[in-house]
Amino acid sequence: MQRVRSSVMSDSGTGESRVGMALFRRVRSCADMVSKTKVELAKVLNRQTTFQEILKQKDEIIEDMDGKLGSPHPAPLDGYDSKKRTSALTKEHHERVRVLQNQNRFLNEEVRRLAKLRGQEHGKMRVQDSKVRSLEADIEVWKLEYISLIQSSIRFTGTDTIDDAELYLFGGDRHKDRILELLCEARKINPSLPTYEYLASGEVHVDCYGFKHHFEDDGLLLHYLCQELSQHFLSQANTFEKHQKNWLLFLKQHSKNLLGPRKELKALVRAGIPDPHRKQMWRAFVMAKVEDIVLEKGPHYYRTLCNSVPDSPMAARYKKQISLDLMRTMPSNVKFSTAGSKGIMDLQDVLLAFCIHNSTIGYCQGMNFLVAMALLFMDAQDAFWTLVAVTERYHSPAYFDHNLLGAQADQSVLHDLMSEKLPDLTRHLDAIDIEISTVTLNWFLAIFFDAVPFQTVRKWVKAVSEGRDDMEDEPCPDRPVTACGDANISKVLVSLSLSDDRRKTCEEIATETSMSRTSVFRVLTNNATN
Amino acid sequence: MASRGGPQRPNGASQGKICQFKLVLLGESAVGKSSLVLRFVKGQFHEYQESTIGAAFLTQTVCLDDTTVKFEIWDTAGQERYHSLAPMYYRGAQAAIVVYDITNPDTFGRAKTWVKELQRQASPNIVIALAGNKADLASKRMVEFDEAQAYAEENSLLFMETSAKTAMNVNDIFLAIAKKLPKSETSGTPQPRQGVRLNNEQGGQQSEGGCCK
Repeated sequence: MQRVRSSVMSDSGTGESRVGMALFRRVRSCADMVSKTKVELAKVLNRQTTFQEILKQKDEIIEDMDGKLGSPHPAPLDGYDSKKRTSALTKEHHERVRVLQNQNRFLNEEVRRLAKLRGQEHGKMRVQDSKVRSLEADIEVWKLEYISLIQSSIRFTGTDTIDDAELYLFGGDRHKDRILELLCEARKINPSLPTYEYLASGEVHVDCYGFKHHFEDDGLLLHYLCQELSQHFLSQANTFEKHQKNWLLFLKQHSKNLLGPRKELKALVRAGIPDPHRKQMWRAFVMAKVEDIVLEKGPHYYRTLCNSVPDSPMAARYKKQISLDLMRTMPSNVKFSTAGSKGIMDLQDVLLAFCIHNSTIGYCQGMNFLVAMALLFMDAQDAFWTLVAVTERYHSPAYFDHNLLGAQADQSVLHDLMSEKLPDLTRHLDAIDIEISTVTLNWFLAIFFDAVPFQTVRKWVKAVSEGRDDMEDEPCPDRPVTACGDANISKVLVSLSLSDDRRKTCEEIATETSMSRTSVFRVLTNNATN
Repeated sequence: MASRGGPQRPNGASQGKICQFKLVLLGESAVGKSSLVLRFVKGQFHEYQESTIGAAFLTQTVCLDDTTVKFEIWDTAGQERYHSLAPMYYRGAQAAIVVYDITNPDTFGRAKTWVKELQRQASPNIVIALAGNKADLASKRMVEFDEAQAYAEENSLLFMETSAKTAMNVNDIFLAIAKKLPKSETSGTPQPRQGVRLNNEQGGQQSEGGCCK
């Protein structure tokens, strides 16, 4: 109350009514408290009476029991006897408590001991678990290696090009059965894998990228299955899981600036971009290359170009050639195998839009492959920017011009580099009058589209992301044998031609590649292996 | 591949002479150059054949009496833009097939300019064949057989109308070229038996599939 008063006194600036109000509130709260206390008091009293009643009842019971106990004995002995009996009872109780405590102690100890044992077992289990896991991982690796081995032992019986070759498996049905067993097993985890029976019955299998596969030759079919199994085992491997996690972590940490940490990114990209992130990463790489153009032309540039196609003389000029090539770009892919389908229309739109965008280059055969490849993973607008990035930023703008000057210049550079780094091979090629550019030109123009298997091609973002001076092969465990030699030559030559830090000798090429029986090698060495 | 409709391969070492010839295919885009080669080499036909970038290289061997003729075929890209590269492919070629599409007169005109260029710039003894492809599309014919034949005779070209789709005259035109090519012991591309040894240690057969790494 004193504090209240003093606060009222100090609060000289305010009116009386406010003081009154404060006092009133205070009084009311006090009154509330009083009534609450009363209620509680009543409760306590209540409880007290209850307890008293209980006590009374107990007294009655005790009396009653005493009466019962006392009844056989005469009353005078009552006092002494009851005392004696009580002390005996107490003693008995104490004894029982002691026994129970001992028992309890013993049981507690037992529980503790068992808990310890359980903990030990748990630890053992963990060790075993990790052992099993690592063994399982080992088995996966073995399976992968087994499949690769089987794949590589499928021999080409043909002598000409690989496409032409018939394949058969050494070791008879034993290996074939094993492959099929592994396939069955793998299909439990990944049901999208084709069955042997399905493929063997001549059905068309569409893979996850939309490519149609159809086999008439059992060897080729098994070879394809091995390839698919390799992919599967790779995706099951610990390293792959770790790689996926690294990617997720990277994307989470650098979502604002994907291309910031160059070194880290480079390592990740070289180990391969997982399918789910491919679109995002390709887009980021492409956009970084064409940032200034996008800024200059505005965000709706591609749409505007598409809308102006009907009135554009540039589009009209190339329309015929483009139409001729639309269906001849990826006929084996479901996305590009039906006239008028979205894939085909997107392809046409992007190519025509590019003709208007860059009228000096216009349309050059080869671009159709680049765009189709981009469209497999991106939308039309991003595919358009990919084409711009490749033609105007990655390659010099003269690359696709009317004389393909840039591309031809690169062939000269390649030739010079080869004479410097592979003098023996160059001399040999000169002696048999073979120009290396007859083989390599398309590799450069369409970034290996028709020279390496699709699995490898889809890694070409590396080229765009790292630039021309830094293209080097990455370890590619998913190499299929088909066109393998071509792929190798291209890899070797590319690493030779495009990277300075590589010093490859002929021996290294020979050990790294097994180029015999591939069409390109025949060109390169003119049947040197025969 | 299951069926190979091409000519029979040499079936052993008991052959007589082996001649190797470089043959180049030229012609407007989408007239069927690659399809002709695919039919000849693998006996296959695809309605939509991927367009060729730069050029593609294939080989096929045909037997002619006691001679084995091996064609090294350069199948070139048709787009005008690739024209400047053509000399690289027809240089040193002993034979050329200039292809046009009988349903498209423009492609016949383009074929004529190719013939002219070959006569002017290719090897003087080059055997040139003119192929009027897509003969199965007779109902859409725009280039008359007689007109093309007259032109071929004027320019002493081999001439056939072909169809990669039905295989009509495909092997025949290659065989006709093989017949016309001079087959002396030294003819064809000089073929050194010894290649360049890329690997110093012989190391036996390397695995076909083991590549990188």
